[in-house]
Amino acid sequence: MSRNKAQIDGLHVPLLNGHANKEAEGDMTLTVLGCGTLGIAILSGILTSLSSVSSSEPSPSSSGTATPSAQPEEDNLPSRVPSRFIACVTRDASAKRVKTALSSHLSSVTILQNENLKGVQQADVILLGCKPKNLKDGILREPGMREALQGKLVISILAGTSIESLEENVYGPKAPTDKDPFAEGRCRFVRVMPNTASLIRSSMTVIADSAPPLSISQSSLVTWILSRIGRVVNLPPYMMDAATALCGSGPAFFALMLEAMADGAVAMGLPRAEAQTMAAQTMKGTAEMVLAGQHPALLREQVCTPGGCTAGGLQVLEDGKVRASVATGVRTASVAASRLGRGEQGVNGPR
Amino acid sequence: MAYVNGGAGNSPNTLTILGCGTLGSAILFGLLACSAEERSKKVEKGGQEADLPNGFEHEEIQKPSRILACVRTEQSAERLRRQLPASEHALPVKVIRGDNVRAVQAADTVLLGCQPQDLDSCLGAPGMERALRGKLLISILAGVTIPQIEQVLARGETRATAKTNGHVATSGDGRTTSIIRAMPNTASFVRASTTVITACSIATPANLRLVDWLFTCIGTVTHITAAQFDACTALCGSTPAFFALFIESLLDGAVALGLKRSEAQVMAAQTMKGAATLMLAGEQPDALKEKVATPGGSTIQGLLELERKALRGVVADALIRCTAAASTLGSKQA
Repeated sequence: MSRNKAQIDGLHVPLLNGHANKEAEGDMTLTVLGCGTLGIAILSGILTSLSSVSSSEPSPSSSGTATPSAQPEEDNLPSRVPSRFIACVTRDASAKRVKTALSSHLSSVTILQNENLKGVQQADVILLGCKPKNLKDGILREPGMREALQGKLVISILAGTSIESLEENVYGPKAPTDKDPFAEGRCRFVRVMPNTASLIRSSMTVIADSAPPLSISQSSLVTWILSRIGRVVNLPPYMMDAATALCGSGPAFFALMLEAMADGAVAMGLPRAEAQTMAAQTMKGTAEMVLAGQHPALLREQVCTPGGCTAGGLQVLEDGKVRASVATGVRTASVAASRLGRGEQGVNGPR
Repeated sequence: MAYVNGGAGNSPNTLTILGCGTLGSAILFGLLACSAEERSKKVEKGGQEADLPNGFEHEEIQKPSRILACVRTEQSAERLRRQLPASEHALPVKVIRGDNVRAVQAADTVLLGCQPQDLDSCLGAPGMERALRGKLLISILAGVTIPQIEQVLARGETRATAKTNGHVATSGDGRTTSIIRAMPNTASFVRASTTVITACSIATPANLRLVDWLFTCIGTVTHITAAQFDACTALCGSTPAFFALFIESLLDGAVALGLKRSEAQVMAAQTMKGAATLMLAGEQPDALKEKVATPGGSTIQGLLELERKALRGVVADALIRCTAAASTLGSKQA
């Protein structure tokens, strides 16, 4: 049975092994190689999206707000999206976790345990979600894997792992070139960086631009997949460290700020749990306003009514040089990220 | 213009917004959006009662079936009329200028949204106190307490009739005005407000359910005591400005690193939203910090920088200063 898989540009790959287990012509299969918590979150997001599209209900807004521009999910589907899913795991516990998390969608999901090669062979597009250690131990180097990867898009969510290191892992060191990997009989790696809020589908995910650039349909597929777990932005690779600081480390900075607000509220007599909840709700509401297009400086001015109480609090923040502290904090994190990325020693040592 | 008096039988249940300024308008539009959503859910389910969010029992809440929005200037009236949805299925809204007392006479529930300095002239107008008897009055006036409102009403009654003893608004016919104080915040405009509510002692469960429903249309609702109000004014009312400042600060750093400001703004705001959502889902702030700050990584470097600059102490102090300022707001009122 010949099957045209080439809805993803450049994927003119004949079926090498002959057995096409696809149900219907035109099914796209996404394989999650190493399906941990993040892989499950993404699959869950995709499956929920697909089922709400098919029953023509509006996609649930994650925040309950009515402003269309605040919707993180892209509602325009690429020309083709995955409809069959394979989750590759190694341990029983992992298989069980996938089964439980995706229980309402199991008809579209196959769980393969210790059958990575099969999972990749049957895939049209792969989400690489294993740990960096697994990569080192050769998950992509088992016999037959290179051939199975040929002509396929591999979306990597591995933390701190560049495309160069991924390619080196599979194909050995190569001179940098601008040629399309597909033309060289290789797979195409795309690096994406979700953040810790992926698990509740409120991630700020950064997609690193590829060289040469992805085709429009490849790019829209990657965007669509990652939009199932939050917002997406495309940045050049040299901005990855800054993005790591802002989006990767950011949640920790906001957690610190929230703790501090709750401390102040507790000092003023509010119970800790309530103070934390109200602070978090207010933090979320402010974020929603900025996402809806409100400029933060104007927002600040609007809240700061003449003779009101906000101005006094803001004065304390300015006197305490919060602007400079926070700006330096994010810059420090970014510099540290790039030094770590270069393999420098002693990045976290004494100043 | 004659308004049908609200209340019994088939007459409309009327909500009058007395002083429909920016916040009043935000609540109005949130309410309209909420009603529209409920209506479309009902249509989808074939006319049966849809499941309401937050477990509200439909029958128990006397929701308004029409709204009277009172403004002072013709300009405001024009602007408001322009912004109202055109749909004939929407909740009917009538914009009224210069007819406050009659609009309150026609009301079942009154939302007080005038400027705090206009409290006396608004609630002290001839006939106003009488018009409010037996009704629910919801105040969103910043820095104005329930006792202060009761005093203004009592003064109004005194002017109109013989003296009363107590400071609770009462009359010969035994009816009182239920007063509930609510403080939404600026995120009302995107229906993500953190609203805190305190009620007078005579507020009924039905009053409270209505107020909860009303403010759930524009965000979350928390009931607090009068003693906690100033702290919550700071924590919910003012902190949006603090969070906005944090975002500005992050953007300064991001732009210095080479990110475009417009992109960095979305990234920072979405990251903040994600962090908040995680913590609302039960993740403790210190646990979140620990999860993100991996051993030997870059996050801990950034965090240490913030600790060196005593960010926590400064932010806590800002909140404390804000609360103190909030407590003096009320004393400026009559």
